[in-house]
Amino acid sequence: MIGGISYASLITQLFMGLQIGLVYVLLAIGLSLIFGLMTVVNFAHGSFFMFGAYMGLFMMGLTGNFWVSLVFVPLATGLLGLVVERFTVRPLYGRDLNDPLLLTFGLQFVMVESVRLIWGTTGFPFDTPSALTGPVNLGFALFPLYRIFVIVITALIIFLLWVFLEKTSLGLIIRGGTRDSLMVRVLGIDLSKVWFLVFGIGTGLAGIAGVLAAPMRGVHPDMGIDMLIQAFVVVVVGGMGSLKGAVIAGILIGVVVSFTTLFYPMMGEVVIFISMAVVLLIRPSGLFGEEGLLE
Amino acid sequence: MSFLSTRSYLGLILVIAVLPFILPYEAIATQILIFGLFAMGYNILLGYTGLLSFGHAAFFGLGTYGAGLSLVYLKVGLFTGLLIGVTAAVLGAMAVGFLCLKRKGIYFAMLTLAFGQLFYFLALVVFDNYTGGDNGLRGVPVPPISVGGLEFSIIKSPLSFYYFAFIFCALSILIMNRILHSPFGAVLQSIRENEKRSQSCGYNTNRVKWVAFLFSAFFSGLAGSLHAVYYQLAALNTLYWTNSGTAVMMTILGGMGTFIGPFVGAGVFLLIEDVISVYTVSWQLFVGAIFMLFVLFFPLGIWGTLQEKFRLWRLRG
Amino acid sequence: MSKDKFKKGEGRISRRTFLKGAAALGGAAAWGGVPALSRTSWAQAKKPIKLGGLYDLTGPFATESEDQRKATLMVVDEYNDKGGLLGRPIELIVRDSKLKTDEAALKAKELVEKEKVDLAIGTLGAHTVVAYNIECKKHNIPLMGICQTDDLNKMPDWGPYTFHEGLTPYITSQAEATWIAKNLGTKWYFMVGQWAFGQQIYNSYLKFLEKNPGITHLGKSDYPLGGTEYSMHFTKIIDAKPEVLITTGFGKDHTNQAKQMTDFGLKSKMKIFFVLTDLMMAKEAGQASMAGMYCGTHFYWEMQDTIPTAKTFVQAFIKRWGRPPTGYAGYAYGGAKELLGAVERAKALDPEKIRKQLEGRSYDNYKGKQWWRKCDHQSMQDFYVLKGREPKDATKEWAFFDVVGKTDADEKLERTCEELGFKG
Repeated sequence: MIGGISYASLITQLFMGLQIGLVYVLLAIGLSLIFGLMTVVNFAHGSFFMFGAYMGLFMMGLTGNFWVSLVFVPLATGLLGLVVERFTVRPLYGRDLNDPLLLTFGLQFVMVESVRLIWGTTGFPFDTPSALTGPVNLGFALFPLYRIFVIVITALIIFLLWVFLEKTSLGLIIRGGTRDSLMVRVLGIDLSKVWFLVFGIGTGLAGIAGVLAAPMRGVHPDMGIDMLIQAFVVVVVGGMGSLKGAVIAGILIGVVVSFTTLFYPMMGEVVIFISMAVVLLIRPSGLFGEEGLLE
Repeated sequence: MSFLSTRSYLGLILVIAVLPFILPYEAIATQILIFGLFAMGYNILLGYTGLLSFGHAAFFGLGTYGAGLSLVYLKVGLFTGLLIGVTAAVLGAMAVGFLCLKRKGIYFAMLTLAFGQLFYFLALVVFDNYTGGDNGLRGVPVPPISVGGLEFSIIKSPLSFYYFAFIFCALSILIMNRILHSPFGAVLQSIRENEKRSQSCGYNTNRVKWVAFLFSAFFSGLAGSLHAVYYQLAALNTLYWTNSGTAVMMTILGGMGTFIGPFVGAGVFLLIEDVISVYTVSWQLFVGAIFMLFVLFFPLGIWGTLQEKFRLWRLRG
Repeated sequence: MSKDKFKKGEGRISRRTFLKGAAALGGAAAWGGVPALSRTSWAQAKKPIKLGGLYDLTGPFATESEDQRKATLMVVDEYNDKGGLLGRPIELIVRDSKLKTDEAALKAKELVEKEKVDLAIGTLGAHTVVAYNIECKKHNIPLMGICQTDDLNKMPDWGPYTFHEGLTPYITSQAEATWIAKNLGTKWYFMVGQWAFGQQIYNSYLKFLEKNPGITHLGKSDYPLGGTEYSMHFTKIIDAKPEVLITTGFGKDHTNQAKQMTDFGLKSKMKIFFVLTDLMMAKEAGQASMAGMYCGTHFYWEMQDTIPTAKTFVQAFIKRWGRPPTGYAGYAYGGAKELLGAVERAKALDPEKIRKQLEGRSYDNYKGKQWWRKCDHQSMQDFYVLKGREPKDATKEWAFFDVVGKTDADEKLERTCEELGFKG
């Protein structure tokens, strides 16, 4: 026993932290990708997350099939992302680095209020798909099957993304663009098309994170704002543009929050910011970030 | 620089001198005064030094709580209370600036955000017995001030507070004008344009940035202190990151490349919000959309665009 | 557009000029008289009585605040349809305090200084109603507080014309605690939100525990308001083996907690009690999550089956707005009726006369017997415990709960007049 808590509970708490963190990871990956390649701080990322959840609700209402929604949502959200990029972010290329941040800051209000106008201010419950309801006995604790599903699916998405970035030529261009966009352009590649795609992928990831989170949190207009700051912290701690960083930082932050809540719950929210400040002061570009990126 | 832009601050002072008579009620004029000061203070860092801070709510809030707590618990006089508020903001900035300025760009912004949230948390949870938590610190007394042997209360009427705050505001504008249009101000702008070049000219840019940070916090803290006195309350939401966002939006809206732009931005922002929220609860939709339009099509902001148009008009003769 | 169109004497108004003129005109019109969100059509005929309604229409409790506005409007229209109040039409001037203290103070100043309201009603947040009250007190405007707060009926916030239709967290906790101890168990664990209401309720529960040593306080876990994830609290809660888990979860937190507690199987291990609930939160959580959950409330619409005045209110609300009222709509309805009714009986807008009409008065507007305690103007009313139905038993829409308990109104459930700072 440590501090009056049994080992079994500590392991449970660790596992809790892991699954909490993974929800942030999906959101953070999209954000980090967009940062890394386009040097765009997407303040509206949480709104795409929220939009994904609403799209999931819409699709469920239409088809009643969760799996169909799971495929539909990232496509719908990514599509919205493409439209947003094309008409509001692209005009800002070549201008001040802060401009896209400011634009997406305003966009976030527009998206949330629009959703409120269309679907109302009250949220909706999102039923866990029947195939995934019920608890699983993990030995040390009872755990909802759905959350285990989320862990598995998130791992799968991360893996697919990794394969895409490491093993495909488009992925190579993206990685190259993250490191040295000038060089990539010198090689004759139209980066604006790549950025267009990356924004779509990033927001699509936010969307799927939203629909996956919906059964755990319900669907309501503010759900993105709640997550946004946390997602920023994860990205910054992991290092802008680093996929590995986003994954590790996300899990780490989830675990830190989990254990803080166990021992000192009052600090549960602020420990995230303290962690970020500490990491940034020791490792200036985050855990796995590149020195000199985005400065 | 045209006559208009170098003397614009005089025009601003003239306008805010009569603002309560132009607008429908004094409270909105006072609000504009306070947030105009906040935005202009913020712009020292954003517009002139080129540093995007997302944690300036911390300095506004330190001003609010510094003044509020000292007036409530230490029962100090009014000017002392304001002074303590400003001092708290500057002290906070010394520490926060020292830590955050080690980093640049977006990392700097995120660090400022983190520290801002830290202060929020301190007021909400850690010191809530003193600060009143999310209820805020209520019942801040406003002791009467004595000027030339006469004692009077500045909160006697809405107008009396307005002109009390106006004096501080006008003085601040004059001081900021001196600072920003001096050699020091030129160095700030050189850092914004190209920090390495500025360094190679021999300037200790880290030190300069830190000082700019302090100036910025000074005026933000003053705005916060006035806020506490006006509402007789230290409101917790002034420390929340959305208040930082408000400062950013007002500054951009008005024109971060100009001196009085942020003040204009604060005025327009608050007026739009006030008018729209009477017609619809979705006022944030309009504010967000307007802000996006400005970022896309009017990056110079309202005042910046007007100044530019005026300059071009004069060029054409 | 070429420069030619700007030359004087052209005779043609360019589109740009026209737009500018229209905008200026529109701006001036908006300026001269900013209209209220709702105005009766013949308000211009006679000088209207102005009721300042301040609600937290933006923010996490927007829907409940909207309900407050709607219910207030119902009462105002009831009067206006019968010829008004004191022969004058009532004008409800609505402003949004956005759940922020300084915004509430600003809008309060607008209502009082610019609109010059005669009467005041609002809000939803404890901090915003207190800010509203500060302004109203300065100008002796009677204020009807329609939300939960411990501060409105005590010094120094109380004013001679401050009235509190809403319950206090103190009464709420004492009423609930009594019932919980008798019906659910005596080993308690708490989840406490980091905001004024959460802290006030928890501290009041502690007072109850002091007076009732038979109940064990196993522990508490704090959570930040608006935090979306609660699973990390469950490990230690389960380990503590409580009979009852009492949580201050409200709004989104209520929804998420109910969901996650259900997901993690907490319901089979302990009874769970939400200190407050309302219709919208239950709807967001869904019937499956709410099943078996105990909640406290001052009003639930299905009480119309047993309380005649509830039936009148609920039916009228459904008829006008298409769904049953939330508890907050009830507070607003009851409060507005009391405020306007007092003016009617006093035959004057004089605050002293209004006050005399209300102090010590018993009434029944929508939920059975209530009365105004004289010293602090607190409305004493019955309190109820609800239990979420199983999905198979919830046949009608909005029919989430069964009423399983009731604590009768009792002045002893509230702090004494002396404790609140009133002498004698």
